[in-house]
Amino acid sequence: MRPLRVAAILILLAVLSLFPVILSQYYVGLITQMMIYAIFAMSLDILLGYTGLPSLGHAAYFGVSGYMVGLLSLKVTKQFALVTGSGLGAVIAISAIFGLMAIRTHGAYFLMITLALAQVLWGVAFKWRSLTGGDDGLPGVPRPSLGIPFSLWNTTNFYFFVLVVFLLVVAILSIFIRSPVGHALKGIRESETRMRSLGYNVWLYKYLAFIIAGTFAGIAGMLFTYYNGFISPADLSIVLSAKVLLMVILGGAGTLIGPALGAAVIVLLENLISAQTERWLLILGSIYVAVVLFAPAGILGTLKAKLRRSVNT
Amino acid sequence: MNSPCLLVKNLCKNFGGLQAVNDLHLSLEPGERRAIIGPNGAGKTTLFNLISGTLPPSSGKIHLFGEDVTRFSPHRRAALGLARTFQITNLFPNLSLFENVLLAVQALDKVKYSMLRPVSSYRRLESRTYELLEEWGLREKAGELARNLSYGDQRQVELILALAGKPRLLLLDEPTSGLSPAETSTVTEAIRRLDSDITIVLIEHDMDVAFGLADRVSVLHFGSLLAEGSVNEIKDDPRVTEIYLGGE
Repeated sequence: MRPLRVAAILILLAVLSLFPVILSQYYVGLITQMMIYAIFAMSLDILLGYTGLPSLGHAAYFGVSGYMVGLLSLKVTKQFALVTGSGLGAVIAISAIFGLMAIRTHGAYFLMITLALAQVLWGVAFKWRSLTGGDDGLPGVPRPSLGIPFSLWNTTNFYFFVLVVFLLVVAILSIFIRSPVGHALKGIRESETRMRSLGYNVWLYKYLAFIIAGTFAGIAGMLFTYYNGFISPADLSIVLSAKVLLMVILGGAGTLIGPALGAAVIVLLENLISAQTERWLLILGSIYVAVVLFAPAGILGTLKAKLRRSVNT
Repeated sequence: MNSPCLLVKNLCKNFGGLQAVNDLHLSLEPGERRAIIGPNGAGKTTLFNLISGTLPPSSGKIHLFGEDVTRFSPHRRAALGLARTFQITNLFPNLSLFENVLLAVQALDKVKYSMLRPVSSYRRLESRTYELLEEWGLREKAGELARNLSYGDQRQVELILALAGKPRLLLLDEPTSGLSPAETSTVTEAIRRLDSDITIVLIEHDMDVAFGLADRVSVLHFGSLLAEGSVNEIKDDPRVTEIYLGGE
């Protein structure tokens, strides 16, 4: 198992670093997008798959740091550390405040309150024209200068920048979910009452998970704003929240790589299909129905179950 | 240790108009084995929920190991050395048996707030988990999901989870409910073998089990304490016979 896993990771790394050589600029950009959404989806999975908290407002944290990066870069400073530091600070503060309100609830109520909180931010971005540009958004966000001799305006260089962040996030999250805290979150998903009587401060763990999930969503949001050079209320909206939820469910909630896979599939389909038809959302909806009916455990979950069955027989 | 291990004073719990627990007094010496019996709806499980902190009392006080814990959250009471099992099996169904026990083992360890190291790198947690599984003869089932274990095994895992934190006071809510006679005697035997320093409160419907394990027995009836005494006193008490068999 172990050497096999190492080999798989090495091959994946080699393929990922070869992409810019073999693929056209268009596809390199597409894969950059996939990795950004993968970070976003993995962050939501900390809540949904590991802790059992279904958030329908995860775009809030993606958008908050995105707006922070956009506003600062356009109006104050382009200094990378300052801009991303403020973006992270903003998303941690917002998740810490929203978490206080959301963590008190369960199930469908959690879903509703996260949605409502995200809509508040959407409303602010939409109405506060003088600051956010309203529904025109903030165009022309410049990419950062890292003080290295590679310009991030170059598609390939930006791809590698995102790749490094993506790999770091995967590494951090894969340790996190195997850590004592990660195990405790799974325990909370399975039985809160049991966790409490064992001696776990369930509220604190959920709050921690909420802030961590928000923070990583914020990292994705900042990358996305740099990638697009643009941020608008759509990046805080329920449409994006629903899309990332679908990525997690499609790929397989409760696995780390599943949501990344789901993100890749959705981004690819969205780009391929919207080139053919305007009815992209209709297709997205059908995918959702099909997954819930035929593969409720997601792509990775279904594959794992198949594999287990074939090993057992 | 002069102070009682568990002290319950004037405890009341109302659900709307229903008085589930009514002005209850209990006092347990360290190392005591106490059975709590009573017909269905007598308030036995409510009493456990009050002691373990999952329900707030309407009035009254609860002391654990000489400390007033009435306003403590469940996890703080657990940290003092209180553990419980559930009448309705309450495990982590989609985690493996190993992970179930591991969660109980790390619950009272400082590392439970660590998030930048895999849990497998803490050798002492892993070896303690395997030690417990070995002790209960479940080592070879370590990889199975808890929900795929037999009901008898699940009831044993209930006990393992409660014992993993080395509690000083153990609340057992019908540990043998739904078990076959053979499984019942296995579990009874396991409880009897527990360290005699552990104070145990046991809710039990099976009178043979209750009277076999307990030093003293408290009888609850409609949320109030009807009688309390040694096993023989309770066996001979006509009021106890009456509530179980009805008036003559």
